[in-house]
Amino acid sequence: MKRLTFFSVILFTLSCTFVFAQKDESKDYAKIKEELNEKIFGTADPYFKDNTLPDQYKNESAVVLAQKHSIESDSRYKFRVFGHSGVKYNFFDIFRKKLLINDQSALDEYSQLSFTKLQSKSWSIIGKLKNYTFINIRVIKPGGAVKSVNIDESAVTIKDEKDEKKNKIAIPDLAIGDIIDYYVANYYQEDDDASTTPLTYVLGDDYPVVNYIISLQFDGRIAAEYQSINGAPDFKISPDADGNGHVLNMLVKNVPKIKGLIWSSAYRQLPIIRLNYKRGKIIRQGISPINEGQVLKATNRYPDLIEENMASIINQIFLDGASSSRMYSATRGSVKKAWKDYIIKHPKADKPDSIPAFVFRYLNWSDSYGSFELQKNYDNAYYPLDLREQLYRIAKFGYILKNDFKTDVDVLIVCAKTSYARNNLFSLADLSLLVSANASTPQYFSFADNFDFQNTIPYYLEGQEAKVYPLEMKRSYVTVAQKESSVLTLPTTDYKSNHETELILAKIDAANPQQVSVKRKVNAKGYLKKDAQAYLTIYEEMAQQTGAAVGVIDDLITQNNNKGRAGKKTEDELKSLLEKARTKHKEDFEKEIERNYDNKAKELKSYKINSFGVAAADSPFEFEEEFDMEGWVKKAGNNYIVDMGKLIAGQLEIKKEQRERTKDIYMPYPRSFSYRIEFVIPDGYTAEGIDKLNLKSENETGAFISTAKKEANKLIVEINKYYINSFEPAAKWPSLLSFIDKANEFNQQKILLKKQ
Amino acid sequence: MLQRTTTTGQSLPFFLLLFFASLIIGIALPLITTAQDDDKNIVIESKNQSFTFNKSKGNSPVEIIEQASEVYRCDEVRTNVLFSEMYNENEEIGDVDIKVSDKKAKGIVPAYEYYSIESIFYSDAKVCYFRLPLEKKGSKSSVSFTKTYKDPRYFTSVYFTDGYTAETKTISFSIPRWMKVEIKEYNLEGSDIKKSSVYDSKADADVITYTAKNLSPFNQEKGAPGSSYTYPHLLVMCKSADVNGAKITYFNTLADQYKWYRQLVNEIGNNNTVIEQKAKELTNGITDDTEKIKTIYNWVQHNIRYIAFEDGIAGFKPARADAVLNKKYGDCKGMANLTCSLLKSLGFDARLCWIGTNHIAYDYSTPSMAVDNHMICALIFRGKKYFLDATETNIGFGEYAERIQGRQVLIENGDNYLLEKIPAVVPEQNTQAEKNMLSLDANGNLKGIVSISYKGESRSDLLSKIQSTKKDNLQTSLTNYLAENNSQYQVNDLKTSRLEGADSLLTINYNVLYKGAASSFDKEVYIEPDFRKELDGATIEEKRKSDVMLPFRMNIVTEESITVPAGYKVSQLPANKEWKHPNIFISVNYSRKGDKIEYKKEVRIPDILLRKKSFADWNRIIKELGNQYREQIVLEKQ
Repeated sequence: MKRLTFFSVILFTLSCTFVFAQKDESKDYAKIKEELNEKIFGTADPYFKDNTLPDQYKNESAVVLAQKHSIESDSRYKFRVFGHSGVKYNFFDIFRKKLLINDQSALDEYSQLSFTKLQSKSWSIIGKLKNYTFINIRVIKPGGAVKSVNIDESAVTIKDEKDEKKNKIAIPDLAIGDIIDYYVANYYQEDDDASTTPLTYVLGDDYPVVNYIISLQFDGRIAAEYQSINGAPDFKISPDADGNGHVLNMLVKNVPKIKGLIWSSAYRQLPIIRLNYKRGKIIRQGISPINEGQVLKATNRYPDLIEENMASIINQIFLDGASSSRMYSATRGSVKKAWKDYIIKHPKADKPDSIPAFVFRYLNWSDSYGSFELQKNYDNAYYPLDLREQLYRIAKFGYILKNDFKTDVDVLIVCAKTSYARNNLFSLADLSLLVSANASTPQYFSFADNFDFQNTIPYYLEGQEAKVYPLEMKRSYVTVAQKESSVLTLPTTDYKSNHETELILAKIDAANPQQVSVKRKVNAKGYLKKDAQAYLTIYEEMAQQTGAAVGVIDDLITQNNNKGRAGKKTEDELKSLLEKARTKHKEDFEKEIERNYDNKAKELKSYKINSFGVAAADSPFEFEEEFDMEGWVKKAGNNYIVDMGKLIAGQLEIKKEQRERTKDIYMPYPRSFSYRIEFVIPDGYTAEGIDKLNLKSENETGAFISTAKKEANKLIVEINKYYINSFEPAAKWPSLLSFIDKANEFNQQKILLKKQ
Repeated sequence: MLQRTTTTGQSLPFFLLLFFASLIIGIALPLITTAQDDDKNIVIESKNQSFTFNKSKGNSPVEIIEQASEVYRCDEVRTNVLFSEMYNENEEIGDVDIKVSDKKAKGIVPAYEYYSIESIFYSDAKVCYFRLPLEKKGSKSSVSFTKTYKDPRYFTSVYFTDGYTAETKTISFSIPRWMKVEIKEYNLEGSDIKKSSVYDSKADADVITYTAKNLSPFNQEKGAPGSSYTYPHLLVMCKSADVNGAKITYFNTLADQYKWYRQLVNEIGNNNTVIEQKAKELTNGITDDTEKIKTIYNWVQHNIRYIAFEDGIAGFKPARADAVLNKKYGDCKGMANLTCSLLKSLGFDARLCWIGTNHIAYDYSTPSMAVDNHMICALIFRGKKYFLDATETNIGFGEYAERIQGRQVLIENGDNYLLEKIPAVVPEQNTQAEKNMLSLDANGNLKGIVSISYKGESRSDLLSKIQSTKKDNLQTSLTNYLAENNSQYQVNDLKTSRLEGADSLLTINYNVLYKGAASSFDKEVYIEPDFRKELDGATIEEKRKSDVMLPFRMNIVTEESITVPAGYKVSQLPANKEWKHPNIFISVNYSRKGDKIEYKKEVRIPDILLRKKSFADWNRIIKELGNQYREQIVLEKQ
């Protein structure tokens, strides 16, 4: 199976937001433009001085000779007529980059830029607030000649509105060997709205950077906090010119380019700097605030602080959710009725331990499938939920369990292993949420997407430490305490529980011997289940499956018609939509085959889902299909060679450039795959080369083992492949490669069918 | 509008290129409104377009007013139609009236915006669009508007086809007798379209009406020929007008069209001093005239970036050569003008040329702005004409890209013109020749040396991929490309000829170790001689509706010799095979020569337009070729 996790890097990307001069420029705009030009291009900056390509980068596509992000602030107290007053903040946010173009691909990338020119003013109680953007570009030729780019002349307008113009520019006289030096600046004014601005710098880009500079000046009315992690250096902090604020400076030399590396974690392996600045003071629960004019580095109190902030947010949303829905009155009634009906039909389920799972199932069904519009996407049922949506669902779930079923519920705040490490917590978005219901055996509920079925811990949370926040009823609301009641370590899975089994029955097509007919049955459980479910199910199926688990047995058409006249009016249209989705469903299976085998099936003859994996956490997702595949059998006179190794999926291959590795290995979860191939040896032929299908590589990180034997007229091959851990230190890479390579070797194996 | 498409920068494997070959928007297709495959939900119940020629008081004495109205119907599920209508500097849209279920739609405000086309840096194309609700199954919504074409020269074609199936459609023209217009029909056969003509005495105009029923929608299949080849449409040729006693001649003849073009060219105003200086600098020290020409051509190809502009008159008038030189970018017109000017400044006879690429079904027998979409430079040198298209970065001097080869070309010739054809290209211009000298070792590995040469379009294609690859990645990417991403096929000591410059041949040499190339079973060894298996699996989907325009006339020759190890003899060679079809020729040969097996394969595409009627044959041949590729050579231990 190819399961790749590449870096998903949040880069500080240049969104060329800026302005340039046109005839309609105001005097004010033109003046600032001129001042910026003088300050940036007209003043020597030692880091932007050098025009030579360092020897070590001679073979790079492009090299960033210098890159600087600077912020300058200047805030003043303003009085206005009619008694309004407040602080007006002035900001310059400037990004400058000087890049040497060293090949055609970089020339193509940098020869055109798109940008937005803002020259707008908005109004607030303290007067007009300006928002201007500027761009300036120059080209430095190999001899050192500097050529200014006349943006007015070379840019074209692609969107033309009063305050906002979108433009494109083709940079004239730009060639390989030239240096492009440009800046994008945003001058804007803000009033005192007390909002926080987050900044993230990842030290790494598509190209190496010789001088990476960050220079942030925050005046005496601004507070800031920051962190510097995974080997990123610290800022040098000094007082600003008027002595009330600070300047944060950082210079990093020779920042290497980022290369896509399989199984790595940007959040834990790349140097990153994060900073929040705020107009006004930053309040921190339990620690002294960061006052205006102060800049502080995140301390080791921050992990607790961020988690406490999350607890506060939880309470806010709990309150908001309950009050906006009149204490969930409508939902509570229907859940209770459904539970009553359910236990009549399933008397064995009538015990406290069944309640949390039932309520979870019911709410998931009612939120995902309980009401459906004609505009819905009927081709697929899967959707992820953001943190806020999760919180609203958690609030409803917690409230109903606690209030109506008198069941204890805990919210768990967890750092995912796919995000920042806990000691690097800095933002609420770094955290994940989980719920546990304290029946006699703890059950976990995730709300990260609608395919998180009952009692599931998402793979990225398993084995992580979780802070436990019990829900308490306070008058008619539920709340959590500011402080956790305990800390627990979430259970983990092993490679055996995340398992996929495939049974592959294959035979050569009698009429067309160069074609193989395959019957394949796939059974996926544990963490290997969700992908298959999301790819291979449609809305109608999942609505029926999840509905049945809470006692809703009507099909969608009946449910729709039960809505009364309005429902009946849309019956025909709903039927067409469902029918279209069913017809298109076949393509999901065709695509699955293509992804799996790196080869399209000649024909998919049948497909069927045997088990949807919805009923319980450990119930598998199972499907079977029949298809014909070409290209696996080759003619050799009267004999045939069969690519037996191809009958299992295409195997992950680690290319030459990734075989040397110094970075630790972050895989999603431990997992195992087993295949049983039953290949019919055609009458009149013998199979040769069976022994080559016996391969084995087994070590402390995992294994690939295949054994082959002949039984009657069948060749039986049993294959097991497993990855024992989700994390491995870099030193174990050769061990992983050993069985990954063995799996590839198996992929190449062939047998000979010899005419007797 | 002058525009071109480019296939440079493609990094797709060849077989994919077949189906992703450049698709140009020859007319302003409202692409965003096109129906999904087999979508029967939305139909156009009726659409009427009437075009009236009027005398105008504006800058142009004649304008054309289109009154359009269309009714959409929902047949399955309520939805929205993304209605769009294109316009530009020479066209205006007005009086947009929207009705939803027979009621005037309040709150739907059409947006008027620039329309960006991916391959074009800047154009004056704009789009008027809005979402038109179809409230339930069976409901209807309608749109009507007027569109004014301000200059008859720019009013060139009217298509019958829309984004959705049209049940009934009328297109009518009211042509006053003072206006001379010729309407030519294209691709009407196979559609239910009727024509009638009446004289409207009140307007003193001929009214020509086409009534069509059940028109199929546009489809967006990749690699289809230009829409003018396939879809029913009318080419409208505005010849002349008598307005208040004055005769205005539009494109009555090709001479008139040339005259208009020529007038634009005369207005360019190149600064020839700068050009001459540059030409001398580039050819300094070169004495041979051919070398001078190649140097100039190659310099423009590699140093001027192609950027498409389609901005009003700038869509037709070449930019000044010195401006292109200064900016180092230009569109086809600017690049042609620069190439011409540089050559002329050295005393060569170079001319500007207008040409319609193979995307367009017309030729200059129908004078119209719709006939051409590209400009190049012609060079008359030692009694022979050469055509230089500097937008083709990697096509050599004397070679012709597929899209212009064999096409009519209008060559500047003072007040007159020359109408000629670009020489037709044979597949051999684009030969990819591979020679493998291999030997088999005891472990079933093939080892040896490989040399591949690429000419013409095959060279251009590979160089484009190379040029779009980052330098630090190039070795790895090229190795993976040559190894077809197969890690068993190890490429070592890779050497290439120059990857830039005016060479006409790109050569690649390397040593190969192909692990496990042969399979051993008992005393027998099986080998599949063809590694690349070009066109394997390149079948065409049965449900495809459009013809396929293959990327170029390709010619692949693979010759391989495999030395049989001592102690083995050849026990079985597959039979030789040959396929002949107007679109494809393939031959595969196996023979023995001493201790060597010789394998030779030729794949040639003599005609790139693969018609629907040939799909079955094509698919059969490709399937048989796939089986042939998998036929094994058998060696036996003695």
